Amino acid sequence: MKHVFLIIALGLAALSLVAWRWRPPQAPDYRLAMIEAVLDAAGAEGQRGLAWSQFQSFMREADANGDGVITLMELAHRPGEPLWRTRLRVAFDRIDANADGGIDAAEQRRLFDSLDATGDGVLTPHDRPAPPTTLLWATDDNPVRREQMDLFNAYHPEYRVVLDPIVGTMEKVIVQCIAGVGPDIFDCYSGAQLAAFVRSGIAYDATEALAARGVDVNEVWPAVHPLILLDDRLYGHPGNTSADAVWYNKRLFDEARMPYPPDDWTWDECIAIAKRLTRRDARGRPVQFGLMTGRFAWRTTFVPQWGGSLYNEEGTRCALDAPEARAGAEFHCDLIYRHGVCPSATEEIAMANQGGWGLGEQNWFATERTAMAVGGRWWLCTLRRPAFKHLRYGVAPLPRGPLRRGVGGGRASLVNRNSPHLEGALAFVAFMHGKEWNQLMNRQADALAPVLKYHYGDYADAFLRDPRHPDEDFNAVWLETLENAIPERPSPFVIGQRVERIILNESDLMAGGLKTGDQAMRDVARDINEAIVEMLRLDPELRARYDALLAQGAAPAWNSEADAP
Amino acid sequence: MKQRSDLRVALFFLIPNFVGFSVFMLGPVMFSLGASFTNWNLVKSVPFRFVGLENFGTLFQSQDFWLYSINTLYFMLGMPVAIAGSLFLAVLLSQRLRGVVLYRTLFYLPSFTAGVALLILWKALYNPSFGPINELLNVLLEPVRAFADAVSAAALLRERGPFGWIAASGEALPFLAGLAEAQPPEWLASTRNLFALRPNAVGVDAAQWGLGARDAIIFMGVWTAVGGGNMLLYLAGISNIAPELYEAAEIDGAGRWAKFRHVTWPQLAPTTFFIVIMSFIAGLQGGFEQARVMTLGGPAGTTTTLAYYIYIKAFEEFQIGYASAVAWVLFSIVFAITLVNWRFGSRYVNY
Repeated sequence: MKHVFLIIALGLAALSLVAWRWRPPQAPDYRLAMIEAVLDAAGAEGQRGLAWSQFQSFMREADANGDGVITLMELAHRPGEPLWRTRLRVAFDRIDANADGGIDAAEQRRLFDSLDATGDGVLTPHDRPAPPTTLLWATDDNPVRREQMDLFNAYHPEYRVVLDPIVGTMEKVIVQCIAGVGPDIFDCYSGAQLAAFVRSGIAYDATEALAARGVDVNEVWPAVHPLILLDDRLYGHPGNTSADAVWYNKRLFDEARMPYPPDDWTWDECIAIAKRLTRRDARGRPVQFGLMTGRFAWRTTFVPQWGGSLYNEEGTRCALDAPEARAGAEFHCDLIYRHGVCPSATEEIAMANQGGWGLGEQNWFATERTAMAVGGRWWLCTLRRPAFKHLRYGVAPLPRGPLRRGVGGGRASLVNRNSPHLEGALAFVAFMHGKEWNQLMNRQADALAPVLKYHYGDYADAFLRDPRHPDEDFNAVWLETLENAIPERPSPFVIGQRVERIILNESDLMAGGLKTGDQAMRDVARDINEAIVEMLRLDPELRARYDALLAQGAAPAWNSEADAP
Repeated sequence: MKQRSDLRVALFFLIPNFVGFSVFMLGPVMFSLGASFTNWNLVKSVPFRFVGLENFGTLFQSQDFWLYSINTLYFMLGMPVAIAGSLFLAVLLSQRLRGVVLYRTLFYLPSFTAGVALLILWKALYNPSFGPINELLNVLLEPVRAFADAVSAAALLRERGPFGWIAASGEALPFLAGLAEAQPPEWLASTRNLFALRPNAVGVDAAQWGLGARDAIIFMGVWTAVGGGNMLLYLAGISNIAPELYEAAEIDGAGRWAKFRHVTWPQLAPTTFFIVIMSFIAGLQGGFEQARVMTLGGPAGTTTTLAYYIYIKAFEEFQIGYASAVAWVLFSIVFAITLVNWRFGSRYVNY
């Protein structure tokens, strides 16, 4: 009997070994297939090497109408066609990096360069590519993200980016990185997250490396600077950028015989419109809301519009107890409880979904149960789906408060300091600064491109009027919204996740009607300031920086010296 | 000689388990004990130092710790109901019924369904505006509302008639008005609870009385637990009871209830004892999945348990040392309660 057990144990050990060594099959590298086919077609001459001019003759042969652009139509299957032609057709999507349906002269040259691994200007059997290096990118899993990875993979066949799903939280990445099995690249959604990644020693300081790759941070929208810049050091690049505007449903406005929201409107005007468009059933349950702002609109819209901010200029003190911030939060509560045009906590829960950002509001807007909703351009990723083809919608800027602005944001990608593929990870992050990535962002409507210049000048027309989506005549609004967006600067003196937890709890009490906006802001400020004091007690290095700022006149987090750390 | 050889083989086969246990369980547990006496923080600039019992002192002074301890204990209120339900089901399913295997499978279904899927399903069921639970409650409340409306209207119209005392009373009319406006609970959106506990401080506030997120999670927990492992343990226990005991009871003229009370229940005492101990342990360590998937510990921290608090402190706020201290306090509570159970609970185990 013991021998049977022994055999089973050995079998299990063998299976474990196989499982440990096994790697999933990878798609064949199209460069290998191409290079073999082209050299074979060139015959003896090909064995000596194929120069660019000779390579061009293949391209000219494929370009049947001679317009310099090879289309799929021209590559249509022909009986007995040469192998290189077949392989060119199979790899068409990867070579056509800008996805315009044609391989133009620049893309042909890029193809040649990508095949010429030794970089000597001649294709030879020595150019057979090594297997691509796999780069792990921790980001949210969705179809647009896969298209973004495909674009990078097409331009950098030496790498293969694969996705490790996360949902906007950072715990998984931090634990993985500390355990030494972190992704090569990971996403960061706020300045507070960046600070945490940097201070836990996970994010790579890419200032010089990215500058050497042509990344100029001044070309990036300021609204996303807090996601990549900390103490003047650069840690990554934003993949997109976003700021909120007001989506409105044209059908519901038409049925109510109301004009669409104007470009320069106030909150009073907005409330009047929203009241007329709010409908409830006999039990008082919402059938249709006039306006949905989202649960944290006090933070992203009202507090900044009323002139408040999360922290003071130096980040030494939470400033939500300032009169401006309290007035902004009160206004948010008024929208819910006094005017009854926005959902309460219960109604928010009724709309809530598992995972994702703002999906509740987006779903209500997409199913025509709210006439207006505050949201970002990225909603188009959903609204463009065939299921919502019947929707008619427009976009207006946020109504004006005392100030006309809102908090901008986005998603940045950072590099793992201990990544074994640092070069590849940096290449990926730097790729986000280039034309191809930025144009893809604008085309996908995954919010807006992170680099300013791809919305203006020669690029303006492509962004403002996408011929594939002629109904989307509101892209100028997004641009204006982003121009008015301000970044939410974190405090370096407190752990961001702790701040988020405090804000979440107090928002619950405010949205549930258990606290007024005024009281909630005072309590949030008190708790965050206590967290700052606690952090200063722990960290002498931070304390020294903090004291230096106080010496320059910054306000401390404590109200009396007795509370000082 | 053979015994020694068998021992060697046994030890050989125990090695993988022992290595796994040491590396993945004993090692980290001991490591966390050491970490609880340090200020270990994932923030690199915080200098690592030995702080003795400081973490323990801090947590006992922390309001959050007490609030989340209360939440943990509150969630355990469902435990006796779940155990009684399991016993009831086990007794039913031990009868010789047609299709009993199918019933057993159906009742056990929640236990082998993916936990996260169940939690998302319950989240949808608890939707305050459109969830099926509140839809049903609204149907039931409708006649109550109509009745309260009618009575208060009649009372106001005929102040001197048979309903006159209602109008004359200072309290009946507001009560009726409240009844006419009665709404189902807001479940996961509400901080209310049966003990009127305040959401953001240790204390009681009458306005918080009602059903809310905590109770919603208890009901869900009871539903999951009734047909789970406890039911199987009771079924196994019942099948082990000697039939002669029932025969003897029948000869003595015992009815169904008497047989249950004097045969089944005492014979199941060891099983019940085991289930109570395991339920206490699971209850004190529980609440993480529900908080993570359904509520993120809210609203306002009302569904944050000690297990989720450990996660928040360690992986959101990076205070590994402090989180380890909370973990060891939780362990101590579990250990103490188990000892008490063992010491006093075993008195009731006669077989």
